[in-house]
Amino acid sequence: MGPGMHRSGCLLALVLLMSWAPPATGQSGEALTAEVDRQVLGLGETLTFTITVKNASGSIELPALKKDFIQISSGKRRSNIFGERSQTWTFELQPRRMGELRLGKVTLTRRRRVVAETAPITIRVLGADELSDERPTVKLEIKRTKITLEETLLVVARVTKGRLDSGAQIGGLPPDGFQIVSGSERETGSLEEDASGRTVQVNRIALRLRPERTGTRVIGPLTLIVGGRIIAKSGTVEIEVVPPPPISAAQARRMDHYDPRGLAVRGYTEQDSYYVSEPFLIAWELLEGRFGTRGRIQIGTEPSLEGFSTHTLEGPSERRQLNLAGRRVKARVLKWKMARAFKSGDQVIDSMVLKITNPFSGETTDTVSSRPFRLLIKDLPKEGRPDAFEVSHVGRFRVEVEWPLREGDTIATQQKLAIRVVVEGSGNLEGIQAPEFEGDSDAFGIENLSDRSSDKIEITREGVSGHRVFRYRLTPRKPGVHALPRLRFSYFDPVQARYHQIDEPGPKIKVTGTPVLDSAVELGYSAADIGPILDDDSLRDVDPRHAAMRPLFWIFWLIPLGLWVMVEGSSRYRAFLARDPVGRRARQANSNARKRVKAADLALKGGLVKDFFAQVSRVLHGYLDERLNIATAGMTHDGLRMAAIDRGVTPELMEEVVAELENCDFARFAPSATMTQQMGDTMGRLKLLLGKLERSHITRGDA
Amino acid sequence: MIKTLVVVLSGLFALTLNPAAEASSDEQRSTFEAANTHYVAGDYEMALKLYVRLADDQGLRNPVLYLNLGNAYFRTDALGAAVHSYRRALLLEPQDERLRSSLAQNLEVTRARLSRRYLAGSENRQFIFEDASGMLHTITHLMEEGLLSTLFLVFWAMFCVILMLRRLRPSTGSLSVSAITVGVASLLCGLMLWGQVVTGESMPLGVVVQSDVLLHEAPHVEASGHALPEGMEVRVLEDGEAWVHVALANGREGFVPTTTLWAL
Repeated sequence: MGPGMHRSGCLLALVLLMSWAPPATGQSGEALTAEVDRQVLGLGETLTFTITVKNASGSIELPALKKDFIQISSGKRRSNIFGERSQTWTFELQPRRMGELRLGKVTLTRRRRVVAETAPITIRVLGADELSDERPTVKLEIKRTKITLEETLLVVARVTKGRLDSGAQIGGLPPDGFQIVSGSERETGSLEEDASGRTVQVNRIALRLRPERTGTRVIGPLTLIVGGRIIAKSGTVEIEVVPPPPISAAQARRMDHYDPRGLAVRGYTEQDSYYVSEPFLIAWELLEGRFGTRGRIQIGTEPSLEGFSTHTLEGPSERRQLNLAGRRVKARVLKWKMARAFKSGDQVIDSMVLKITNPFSGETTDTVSSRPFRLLIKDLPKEGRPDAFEVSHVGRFRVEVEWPLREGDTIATQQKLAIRVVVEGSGNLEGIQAPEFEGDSDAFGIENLSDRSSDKIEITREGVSGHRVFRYRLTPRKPGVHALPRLRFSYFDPVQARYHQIDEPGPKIKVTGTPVLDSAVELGYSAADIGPILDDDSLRDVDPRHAAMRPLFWIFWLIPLGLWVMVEGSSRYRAFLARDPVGRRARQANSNARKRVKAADLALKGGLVKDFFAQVSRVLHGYLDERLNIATAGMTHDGLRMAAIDRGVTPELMEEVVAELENCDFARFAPSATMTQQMGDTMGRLKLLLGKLERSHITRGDA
Repeated sequence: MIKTLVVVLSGLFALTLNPAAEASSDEQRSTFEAANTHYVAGDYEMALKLYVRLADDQGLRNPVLYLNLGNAYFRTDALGAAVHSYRRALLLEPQDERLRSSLAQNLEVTRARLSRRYLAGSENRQFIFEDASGMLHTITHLMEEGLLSTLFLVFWAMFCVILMLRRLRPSTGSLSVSAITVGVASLLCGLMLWGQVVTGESMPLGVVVQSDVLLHEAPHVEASGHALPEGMEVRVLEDGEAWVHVALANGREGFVPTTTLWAL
């Protein structure tokens, strides 16, 4: 297919190429349209010329536009949504002159043959003096003020204007709580005369709106906006949106109202009526029409289901074929709820509203809802109702009692017995109350210790089934022969519509032992009771710390360790001294000298002159002997001096030592009774000398 | 001199193993007597209130007080709290033999009652009173704290004395063998003591004090969980504001609300 070009005198000729492959001839849905948004306008105003080709290929040939119009702008748009292909060209045109102007026909040619064409369009352009100078107005025209959630509402905005320039916009659409039904917008134009006989342009914009939810909604005010400024405003209209009238459960199930071309939601139950507390399934299915869903399905509003207890079930995701009113329909499960009613009477199952959204833009394109339907909830019959019947016991049940003892068994008072009761079947298992035991309360105490740990309840599309386990503790109180309390359980069978009562008598047993008072049972006095309380005079606050974390513990740990360290150290020191006798003598020289000084001191205090000086001489000789390892016995003072200087004692210090030794020799051999002062001085000098010798750096001679 | 030293050391030793930090005040004493009077008269609620005032509000730690508190809880059917009180008393290692046996018996009776309750309630339930604190805790707590401390200190002293003798009288035979034997005994006792201290600090225990407590898999009320019997001991792994991370004796871990668990 080559591009077509029309050159027969047209000022503006466009060649528009269809970019997709040629479809089969005669394909359904092929269309060519050409339209303008207004056919009457003032000089200087603009109109929009739109050409749309759907599901077709070929060349588009346009009429001459430039002769009568100024082209302000143009645009092109393609779309291919859900298999529907379309291409649209828009031209914004401004007329060049007053009077009647003509937009020629648009033709679609394929292989040089015209396959489609549109009719010419006549445009009337009015001069400024022909148009009314009255203020523009906008008015809402709504015929109905009450609609149901399923219906749509036609809203017409009537705009009148005279010399108003183009570019006016309508504000306030869509109103809150409504959505515009896809493709519902339609504009028509006409001319009227005002009081002065001038022309007034009247445009009617019709919108079809669908309510999103129930309640009172207000539409308006609509505004006429030019250049961002509101130049006219309409009034408001209150619309009451009510739920659609409920249909019967049978009608909802059959979907009598269903149009198989479109989408619909079917909410239904298998029966028209149920009993109070009887579990039943409510299902909602999406019925896909001839053209499928064409968008993404989301649940917008779920039914409130007040007065029901519900449990949501997982439904199958695949489609299935249904036969509704003789037509085969594809259906997909949206939701299953297992419900049971709390109260009797006509109950309405509300609508489920689905939103259909554009998968690309996310905008809601449509809504579809199920019809609400009435369901009769029947009260349980009073006739034949057992005493102490629990209203929630609706279903078909079996009861099994596991007695802990057999007929004739013997048991002592206070010995606990466990009884297990299993209620099994289908129906309102959740609402089953613990079966009661009836018997001599003086003979047995019974406690219900049931929990839900062993229960097994399965909820499926077919219903609720499984079992509940109840446990009891029985305490014999009175000796003698007694029958264990009998179990009574009653339920209502909704299928047979009658009550059943189960009566399980307990076996007779022999109870031995002493009778037990109620108070004792309550307080738990038995053979295995707790002991009495105790008294504590001191009531001391005990340190909760661990013994090893208390300071005294570490003191007791350290004492043996310290003793051992001392003994070990002392022993090692002695061994060390034993290995070096010269050194040992040298290290002991000072202490030995001190001992001898003490002896000299005693002599001083006793006034024993001779002994004192002999002791001082012994101190010095002994110290030099031990410290310097010099055999001082029989050595002259000069010899002693030389030997000490050889060991490192300074000559000056040695001079003092020798002087002191000579002083002692003199005093020993020439004692005087007036020597007390001299002895004291000698003692002082002796201590000084010992100190100096101790501090001297002395080398020991060989041993 | 030596006699005086021995007497002083013996006194200090006894103080180490059985410390009594503070005597209670006259007010505490009178409260305790009043609680005992209420208990004997059968007014367990009032007795419980006074015992709780002493034990919890005033922080008095006394095994006799805990015994009586446990008894009051037992009489008011708070069996989990009773277990908690008896266990707290036993952790203080009272020296009085009568008190110890009374605590042990009461604990056994309380646990037996709880066991019967849960066994009667569900056969599938496991009611475990095993030590929840793990292998290390079990091994290190084979001996009581006081006895173990005494043994350790005695072995330690003997070990040091033998070492001293070995140094002072090297000629004495078989001292080395004795030193090794006593040293190993001392080391074992020391390790057990260390284990007691470490496990006591790092593995705190708690007691479930409410019925219908669930061990949640996550710290959220809607998290799934398993039922925990009242009175069960658990190991506290982490203590939070609203939830406590605990471990059972069988190793299962989970979370319980703080209000349902009392720490030992």
